[in-house]
Amino acid sequence: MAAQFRFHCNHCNKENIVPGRSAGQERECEHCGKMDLVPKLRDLKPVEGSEPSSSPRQQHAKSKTKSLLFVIGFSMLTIGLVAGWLVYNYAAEKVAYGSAATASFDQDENTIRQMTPAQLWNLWNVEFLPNEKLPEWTQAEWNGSMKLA
Amino acid sequence: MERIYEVGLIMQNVAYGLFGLAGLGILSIASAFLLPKS
Repeated sequence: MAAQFRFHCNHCNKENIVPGRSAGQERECEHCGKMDLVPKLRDLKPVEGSEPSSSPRQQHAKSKTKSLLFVIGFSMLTIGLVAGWLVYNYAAEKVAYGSAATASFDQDENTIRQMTPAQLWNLWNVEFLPNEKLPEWTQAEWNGSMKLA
Repeated sequence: MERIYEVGLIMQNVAYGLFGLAGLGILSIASAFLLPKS
């Protein structure tokens, strides 16, 4: 049952009982039959015993699932952003080009850049070919591995 | 030094995982708003 409200007719000043949905609309007086504008809901007095005027608020009543989802989501979002930012910065510092962690890589690169072709050739043979095979590496095997034959 | 660099690479992926967690949090909040009224 919808909430009922009292309002007094502006013509005959007699009391009318109206449903909340007719607030702010024209309505025929039950006593004198003239049309009268029903005031806005906030200016109407509710009839005691009818549904309380705050009933629409119950539609926004807290749902346990929703609040749980919201709380979990909010904490995940906060932890994810804060911790992610901190860890990302930590990692970026570690992997940054030119940082202390990459100093040895930079040294290697500079060493290689300063090498002559002959030194590079030697480096290739020492570093990138299987070392244990070097002593018995034959010319044919070498040519085969380089697809030169 | 290479060891520190590798730790950095791992931490980078951990950070991406945490950002993914934040994304899941956004989805969770969004689903809380999108749930039909009971």
